Amino acid sequence: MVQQNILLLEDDVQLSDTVKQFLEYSGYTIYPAYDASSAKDLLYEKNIDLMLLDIKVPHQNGFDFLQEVRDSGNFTPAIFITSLNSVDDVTKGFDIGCDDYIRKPFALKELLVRIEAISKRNFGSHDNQLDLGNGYSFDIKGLFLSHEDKKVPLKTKEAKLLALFLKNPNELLTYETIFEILWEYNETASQGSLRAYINTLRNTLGKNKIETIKHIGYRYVK
Amino acid sequence: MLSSEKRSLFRFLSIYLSSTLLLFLLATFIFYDYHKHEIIDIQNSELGIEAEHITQRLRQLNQTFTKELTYPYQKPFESAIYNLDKEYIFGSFKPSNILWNKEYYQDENRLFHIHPLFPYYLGASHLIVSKNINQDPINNLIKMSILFLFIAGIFFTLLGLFLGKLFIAPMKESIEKMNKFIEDTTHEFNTPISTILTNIELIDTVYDCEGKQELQRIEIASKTLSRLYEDLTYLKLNHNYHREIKSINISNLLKDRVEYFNTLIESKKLKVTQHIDKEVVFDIDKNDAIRLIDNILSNAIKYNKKEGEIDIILNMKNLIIKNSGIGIKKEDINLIQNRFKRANSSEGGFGIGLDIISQVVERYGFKFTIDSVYNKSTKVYILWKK
Repeated sequence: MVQQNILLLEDDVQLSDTVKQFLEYSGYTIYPAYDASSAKDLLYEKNIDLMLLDIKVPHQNGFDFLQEVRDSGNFTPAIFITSLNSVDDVTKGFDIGCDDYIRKPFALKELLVRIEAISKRNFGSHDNQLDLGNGYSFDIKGLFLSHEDKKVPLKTKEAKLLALFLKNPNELLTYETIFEILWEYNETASQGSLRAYINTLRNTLGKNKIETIKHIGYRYVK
Repeated sequence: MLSSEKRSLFRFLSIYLSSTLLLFLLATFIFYDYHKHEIIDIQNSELGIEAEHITQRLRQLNQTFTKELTYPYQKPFESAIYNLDKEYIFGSFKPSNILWNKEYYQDENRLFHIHPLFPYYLGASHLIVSKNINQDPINNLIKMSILFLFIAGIFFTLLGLFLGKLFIAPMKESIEKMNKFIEDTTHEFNTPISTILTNIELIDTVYDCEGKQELQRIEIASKTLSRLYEDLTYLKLNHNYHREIKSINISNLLKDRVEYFNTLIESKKLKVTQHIDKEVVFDIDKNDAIRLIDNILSNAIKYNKKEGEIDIILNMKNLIIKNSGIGIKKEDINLIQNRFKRANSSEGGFGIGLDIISQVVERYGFKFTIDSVYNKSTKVYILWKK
């Protein structure tokens, strides 16, 4: 089963473990980082869907970390976990480009709700189920495809590819972008297998749903 | 700058400035008076010279016996001659109310000089010479004095400000140090509190375990700790906290807060009755509202008997929270009201809650009243509008 990957930057091991345990229980894959530089490594190595960032962490504070990430052209959604109280800090966070923030001490359920809200927003939906037409729907939380309430078996990379398309409807996705997101940095990307995945998706959703832009990439038509 | 700091600086400045200004005012007045006399003396001496001059002319007239007697008259001086019985003989003017016993005198705008004539030329025994007072040098003197006072005032205000800041600096430094400490500590406290609370929640959601009651106690204790720190940071950050004042649905907020205290209420087996009007909405910063409600509610719970009651009434006019509590003694009520007026945290015993309530109430112009029957009940009113 495909799960969303969450980067958790929190230097307190106990709290990090707790959040990790809860979010894993709720169906996410968590990559914990205890300092800014290892968080940067993880962001580079894994395909992170969402970042949870504490502010006071070793090496670099959360604001600077996100600033650097955003400056490098990475717009992965981010939520700040903060115990700084002033509104100024919150303002600063939003200015840098965080998508939400949650104040310590927080309830795990609230954190979960905020994470889900951001995922939904990424897919441009208010619902956990994204209607794809012809009786097909995509579950945003679990990242799986279903046809009239029956799960359609998809390979991990196929589900990931579909999620990528759904997040960027009517937008041209270059081979480069797709490779970067579908394959992790220690895997070798291949044009052949990508073509195979596209075919599977076309066969299920309909031929005209995914357009080929020759020598450049693909586009999902909404 | 803190308000207490401002207050003490202001007090210092007002005492310092009023005493120095008083001194300078006195000095300037003495200076002014002295110089004014000098100016008048100079003008009087001109009168004296003119009197001598007229005397000589009169003597000449007396000796020459020409057909025409011309009275020596020269501007700007006026003069007149009087006989031995102080009766008017002749002159270019006729003054009234002559002060015969003085050699020099002045009225509002003229100077007079009485000059005795000897021997009595033409039967005259007294000559009165008079002229308008030349106001110009006096006006200049006044201008100069005011200018001096003004410059001195500015100089001493600046000096006072500088001195005041100099005195306050070490105090300010230690306050800032303490604030920094609180800020850091708060941050450090928040993480372990979060860990405790999230783990209780985790046990609650993931496992179905025994010992719920024990967990509930841990939860209450952690929430209390967390609230204490919220209060502390609220007081500390109050001055540079950026308020976001927008319309808040107090009805919903109040229900939320009661819900937040639910574990605490249950553990004390309190019976809560709510008469919360719908859509009580007004403009307030959300955090201010939460701190106000939390502090009243937590006191109503804390100072209550087991299995007691809490009545919560909210409408557009006011918020009333009444408990069947241990009550407050009459003298303590006065103490609370007094302390409330002064918003002073130095007297202990009531926690920082009262300070927070008073700050919020003062900021938004609410009115706070507390009624209590010892050992029976306490009623807290917040009147939304004056």
